[in-house]
Amino acid sequence: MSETVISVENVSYTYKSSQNETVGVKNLSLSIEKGDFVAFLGHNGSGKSTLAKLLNGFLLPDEGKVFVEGTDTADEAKTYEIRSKVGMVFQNPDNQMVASVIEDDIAFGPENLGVEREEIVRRVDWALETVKMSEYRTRTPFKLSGGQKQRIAIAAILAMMPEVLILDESTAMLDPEGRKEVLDTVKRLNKEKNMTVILITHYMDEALEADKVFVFSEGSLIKGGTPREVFSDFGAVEKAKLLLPVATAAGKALVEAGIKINVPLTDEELAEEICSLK
Amino acid sequence: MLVEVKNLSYVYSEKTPFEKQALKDVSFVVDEGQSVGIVGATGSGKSTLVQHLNGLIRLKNGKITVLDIDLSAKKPDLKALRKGIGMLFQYPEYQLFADTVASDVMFGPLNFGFSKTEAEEAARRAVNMVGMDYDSVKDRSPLELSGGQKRRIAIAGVLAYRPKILILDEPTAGLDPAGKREMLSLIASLKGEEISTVITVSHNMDEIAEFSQRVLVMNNGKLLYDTTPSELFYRLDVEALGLSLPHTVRIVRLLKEKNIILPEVLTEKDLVAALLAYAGGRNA
Repeated sequence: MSETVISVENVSYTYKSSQNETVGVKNLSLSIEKGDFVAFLGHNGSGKSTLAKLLNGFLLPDEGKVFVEGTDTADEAKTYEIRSKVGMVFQNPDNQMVASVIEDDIAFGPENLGVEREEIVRRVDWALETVKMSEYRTRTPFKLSGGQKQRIAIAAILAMMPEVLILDESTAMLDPEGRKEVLDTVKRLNKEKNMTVILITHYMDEALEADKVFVFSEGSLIKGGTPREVFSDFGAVEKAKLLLPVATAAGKALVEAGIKINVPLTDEELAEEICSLK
Repeated sequence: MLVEVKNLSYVYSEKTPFEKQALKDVSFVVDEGQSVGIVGATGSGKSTLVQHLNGLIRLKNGKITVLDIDLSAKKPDLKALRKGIGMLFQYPEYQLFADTVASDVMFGPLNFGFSKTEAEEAARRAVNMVGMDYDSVKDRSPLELSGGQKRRIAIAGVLAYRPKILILDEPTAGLDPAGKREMLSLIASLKGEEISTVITVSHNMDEIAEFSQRVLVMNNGKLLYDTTPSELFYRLDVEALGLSLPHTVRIVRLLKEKNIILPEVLTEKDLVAALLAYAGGRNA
């Protein structure tokens, strides 16, 4: 039996300033099961980051409800509990560094949660190992490259052992190797620890790794399904202004030229399809 | 010859426990009209290198001449240098600071001695050039714009003072797909028309394959290769350098393993054409 870890029910949220109002999300419903690896796609302003902030109680819905393991995020007494269950790594790692030594930065979260010292040390070791930054343990985070900082930010969240890990475009500045390391890390956490992962990304090839993809446009959910279901729906892709993976775009062009192949998602699939042409 | 770098070395935090050799004996020349990509893994020295080119890092070892300005001179003319070599940093939208788009874009020109009227004219021209309507955005706060728009305004702020060379550090990082597409077509349209020489630092090999004529490959602070995208992706061991292959090249390689030989394409458009030609040949 799958267990629902996050449930979003008819949620709307509008950003209000003195001059204007901007819709964040409107009338949104979806659920995420424990152990899911989910990707959120959509253009800037599509509502995906707003939704992420609603999931850990950073924002509270104007209308509707968000439940994390059955707890209403609007329940103020449970705010800490919810934030420790739903860990979030943001886009800009500089805003997430709190200490001048890396191991202190990573220990900060579990210390705040009242975790025992020995356990904290174990978690710091493990988190640094997981993001492959152990050798930097006693250095300062401020001298690291952007990619290295981002890995430290992820380690800092991992040390709190959240139920759900949200990565809000956290791989944007990593080099291909760093990006792969982070992606492999979250995939491993997902497979081995059954950690629920929500990956907010502009990289279509990252979304291909997910079990489920949700596509947002103008605050609404316009498509949800497996990567194959989503990327074969050219209408939804167009509407959400997504860029197709190169193999899919090339496959689409062939199909449109009347060549009978299945639309591929990966380079390998495209090569297979071309090979199978008679 | 617009840029000449000779035996450039640089050590960060020299004589401290954090000492790190960021650049080792780097030499190259960039001529007018080139579109040069600089690639390499994180920490390979790419950013340190380009920061030397516009004098953000003071030259210690080696010789750099940019637009006839000798950076090894005791007091190089940094103002002339920075007017001639426009640099767009990573996430330039975080550097927008003024109350309005107009004053943000005019900041550079005013700083370089344009009169108020000239600066306004330069701002109008630059904002229109990046595909936005000057009159409708000039009085808006840059903070109200979308991510892609903010970045275009940041580019306009550089274009406004008409540099000869444009350096872009990860120009599409963090943008959504639509923003990426806009940015790439903008860079392509600027090249040739407005700016003759563009140096792009990027992790995105798809973009390097699509846009650069020449690639400098940095590895552990050394300039390992000075080559073409075609040579780099089809002849050299790219993965050993911590870089990925562009998807187009991967697809050609995968097909080659299956004994289907396509031309060595780099761009998506050329890949589609090659695949169509192959499929057409099979059908005929």
